[in-house]
Amino acid sequence: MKNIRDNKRIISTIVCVLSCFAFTNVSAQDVANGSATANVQTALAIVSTQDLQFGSVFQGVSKTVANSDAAASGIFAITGSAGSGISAYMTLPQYISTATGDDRMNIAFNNSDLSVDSTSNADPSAFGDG
Amino acid sequence: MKRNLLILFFCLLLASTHLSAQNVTVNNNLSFGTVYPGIPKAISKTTAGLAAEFFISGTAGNEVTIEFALPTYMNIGSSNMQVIFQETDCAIDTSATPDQSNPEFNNLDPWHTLTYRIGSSGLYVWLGGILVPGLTQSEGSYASNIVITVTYTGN
Repeated sequence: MKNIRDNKRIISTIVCVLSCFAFTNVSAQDVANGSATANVQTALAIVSTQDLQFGSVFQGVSKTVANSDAAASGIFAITGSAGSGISAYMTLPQYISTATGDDRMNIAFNNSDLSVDSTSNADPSAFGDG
Repeated sequence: MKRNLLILFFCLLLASTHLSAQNVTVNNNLSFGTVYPGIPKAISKTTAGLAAEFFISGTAGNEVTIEFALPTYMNIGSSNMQVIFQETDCAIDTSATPDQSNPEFNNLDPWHTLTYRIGSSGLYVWLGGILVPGLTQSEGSYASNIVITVTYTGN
């Protein structure tokens, strides 16, 4: 009688565990947490810090302003993420005109009229010396 | 009584062995790297090292369902940045020689449940996406969670 009770107990234990096993087999689940990452750089910004100033000029007398002229050359400051490459384009005028547009005069930009300084102490008169 | 305990022990051992047979791990996170305000950036699911890669191990031949909980934004503090997962941004390879650049099952929809069988070399899942930083997006390191859930179907 005792053996029968023991056997029943064993069978019920096995059935119970195997039931759990069978259930696990159907619903076994695993979850993993990944991520998406990105590093946003500083936005580009450009400001005109100084206009190109020819000052006083006289009829028939050409005047040149060097790009190394700290007080009169046009200066633009570009800020953004240090070390990032950028491209810059300029749309240049062919003439300077009066406010009303009644009169105008020729302005020429040579292909060496531009300088760029990316050092921490930009100085038109000492280009690239930082 | 001892015999009962011994049987119970072996049954539990068997059951626990079976539970550990299925596993999903993150091999690689989706990395957009450096991005600039106003310039969207896409990472293809076939780009090794940048696309997210998940590996599912388990009994070869068993069928599993794969479900993603995908973010719509990446965050840093109170700043959000839109991230888009298109309906072709997922790929799976269950072959013996998984190849991310030419996956067995390509252009899958990560927004819907995917059902595949684990191969002899497991099952690889790759995920790409598109990041859309705003013109005035604040600088910084953004992140968001991608949750993958893998479930045996019993088939």
